[in-house]
Amino acid sequence: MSDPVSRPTALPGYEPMGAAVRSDAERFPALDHGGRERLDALRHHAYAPAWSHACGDLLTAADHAAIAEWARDVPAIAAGATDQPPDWLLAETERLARVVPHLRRLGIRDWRDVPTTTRADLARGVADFVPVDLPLDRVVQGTSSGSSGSALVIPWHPVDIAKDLALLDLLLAGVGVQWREDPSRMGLLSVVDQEQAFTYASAMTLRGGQSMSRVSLHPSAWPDDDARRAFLTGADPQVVTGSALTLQTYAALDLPCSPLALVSGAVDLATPARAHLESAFGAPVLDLYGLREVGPVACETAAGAGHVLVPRRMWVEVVDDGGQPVPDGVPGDLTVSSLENPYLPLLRYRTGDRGALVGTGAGRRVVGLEGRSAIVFTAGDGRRVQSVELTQQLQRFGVRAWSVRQDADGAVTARCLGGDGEGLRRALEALLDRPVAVEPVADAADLGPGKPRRFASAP
Amino acid sequence: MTDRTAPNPLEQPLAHSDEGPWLRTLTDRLVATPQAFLRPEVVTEAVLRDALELVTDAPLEADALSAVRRLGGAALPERLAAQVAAHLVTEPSLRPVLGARAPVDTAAGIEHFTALVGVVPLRQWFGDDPDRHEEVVRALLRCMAIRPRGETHAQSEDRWQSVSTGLRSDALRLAALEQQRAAELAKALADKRAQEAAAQYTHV
Repeated sequence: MSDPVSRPTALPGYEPMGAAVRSDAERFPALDHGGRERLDALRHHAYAPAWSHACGDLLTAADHAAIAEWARDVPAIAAGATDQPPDWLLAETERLARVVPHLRRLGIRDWRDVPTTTRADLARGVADFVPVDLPLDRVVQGTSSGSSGSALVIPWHPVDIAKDLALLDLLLAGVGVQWREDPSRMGLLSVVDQEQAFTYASAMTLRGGQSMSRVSLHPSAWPDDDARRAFLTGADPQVVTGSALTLQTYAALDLPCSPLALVSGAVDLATPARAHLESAFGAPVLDLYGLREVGPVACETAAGAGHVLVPRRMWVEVVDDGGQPVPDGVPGDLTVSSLENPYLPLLRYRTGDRGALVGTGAGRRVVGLEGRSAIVFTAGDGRRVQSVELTQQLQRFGVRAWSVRQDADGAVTARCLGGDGEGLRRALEALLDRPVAVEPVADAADLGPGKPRRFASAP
Repeated sequence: MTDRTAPNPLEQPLAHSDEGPWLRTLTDRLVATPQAFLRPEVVTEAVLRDALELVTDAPLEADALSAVRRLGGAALPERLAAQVAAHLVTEPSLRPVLGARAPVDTAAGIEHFTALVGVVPLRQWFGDDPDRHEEVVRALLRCMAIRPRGETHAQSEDRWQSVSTGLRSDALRLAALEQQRAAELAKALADKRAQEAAAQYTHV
C-alpha cells in the first residue's frame, strides 16, 4: 500500500482514521456481545485492507422500533401512489410551511404554492431547508458531490440512513430473496474503486449485529492482490452494493462467492452490464436510483422494466422546464418530495435527471431514466479511473463548475470556472498519468447549456 | 447615497427622505404585479438589470452590475422579492427621483428591501390585507430614502412605525430564531462526531 498522504493527489480529510472520533459505545448503542466480537474480528482480519475510517449505525433500541414500524407502514404508502400529491404530504406541507425558513419566507399556504427547489438552492444555504422545531443532537454529516461545483454538505439523521437496510429487505423480498440474518457471512459489502475513500468495518444492529464493511477494490488499498482475494472470499457477503462500474470490477475478480443479490447505484446500469452481473453471480441485480439529498427513489429489477418507485414517504412528479407538472408518460425533470429525513424534508426537489412516470400504486415507475451517465477515463498506464476521482480533485482545488473531456487519442482537457488551475493540473496529471490541459472559463454558461454533462470520454 | 453596509432602513429611523409618488399608486402597482415577476425560474439578474436601466435610461456600471449579480445569487424568497421590487421601481412616477440617482444606490436599496421576506412572507404581500400592501410599499420606499407624496418626513416615519409593528414582533422573533438555528446547524455539522457520520448501505 502506498503512503496516502505523500501522493500529489492526497485529499485533505482522508488521512487514515483522521475522522474517526467516537467510541464504539457511541457508534453502536445497541450492539450485543456477539456483534462486538464479529466487529473486532473484521477489523483485525489478517487480510483486511488498511481501514481508513470507523463508523457505526448510531441506532438505539427506540430507533429499531421506529424503523420496524416504518417498514410495516411504507408499503401502503407505495400502494397508494398516483399522479396527485398524497394526503400525508399535503398535511405535512402545512407544518413545514411554518417551520422551514425557506417556505415561511415565501409565505406558502398549501401545496399549490410550493415552488420547485434545486441543488443550487440548497448550496446557497442548507439551513433554510431545515425545520426549526427539531433538536439537532442527532445530526450527522452527509455530502453530495453532484456533477459539478462544490460538494454539498447536508444534515442526515441516523434513522433515515438505516432505513436503507429495511428498504433493501423489502426490495429483495420483492424479487423473491429472503435476506436472513447469517452471522457466519458478511451481511452487506459496499464496494468502491477509488484510490482515496472512506473504508470501514462495521456492524448492523438492525440485523442482529451482523458485520458489514465498505471497502475499496483499488489495489492501493490492499497489501497485495492475494490479500484482497482472501478477504473478499472469506467475507462471502450476502448483499453487495456499489456503483454499476465498481460492481463490474468486483465481478472481474471472479471470487468464489454467492451473494443473494447485488445492488447497483450512482450511475446507469447498462443492459449488458446487468446481464453480465446476473450471469456471473446467478443472483438478481437491483438498479437503485436516488440522490443523496432525497435518498433512494426508484428501483429496476429487470432490464427495461422501468424503475419502480420505492416504498418511502416520498412522492415523485415530472415537471417541465418551467416547473409545471406534465402528464404521465411525458418525459421531463424528475422532481421528488421526500419527508424521510427529518433534518432535510424537501418538497418538489428537482433532481436534474429526466424520465417519465407511468402506472399507479406499487407499479408506479419511471421509464426512460436519463442522467446518470457512467464515465471512465483511461490513464496513461492503462488504468481505468472513474469520474468520481476527478470530482474529488476538482472540488479540492476549488473549481466551481467544469467540463472534463478525454478524446479518442487519450488527450484530456479540463475547462474550469474558478479554482487553482495549476494545482489541479498537477493533481490530474498524477491521477491520470498523462498530460492534462486546464483551460479557465469566465462563466459557467461557457461550459454548455442544460444540465451539465461534466465528464466525457471518447475511448 | 445609500450605503449597503449601513443598518437596514427597515430596522432604523431614516434621517431624511425625498418625496416620491402617491402611496396608492404603488400599492395598486404591487397588487397588479404580473405573475411573470413571481416565477422562480425567471433570471433575476436580467430583470433587475432591465429595470434599473429603464429607470436611469443608461447602461449599468460595474458597481451596480455587481449589486445586481449579488441579488441574482440570493435565495429564492429574496430573489422573488427583488423581482417584485424591479416591477415597482419602474413605476413612471418614481422616475423623477430614482432617475437622478446612481443605479448602484437603487440596487443597494433593493438589497435592503429583500430582507422584508423574513418578516412579511412573500405570499402575504399579495393577500387581502391593505396594511400589508402599505407595509411592502413603505418598506421599499424607505430603503431608497423616499417618502410618499403628501407626507412630511416625520409623518412618513410615524406611519412606518405604525404599519410595520402589527405583525412585526412575532415575525422578528421567528427571523431571529431562524438565524440562530442556521448558526447551530453549521456548528452541529462541523462537529467532529457529526463528521464521522454513520455507516451507509446504498450508493445513490
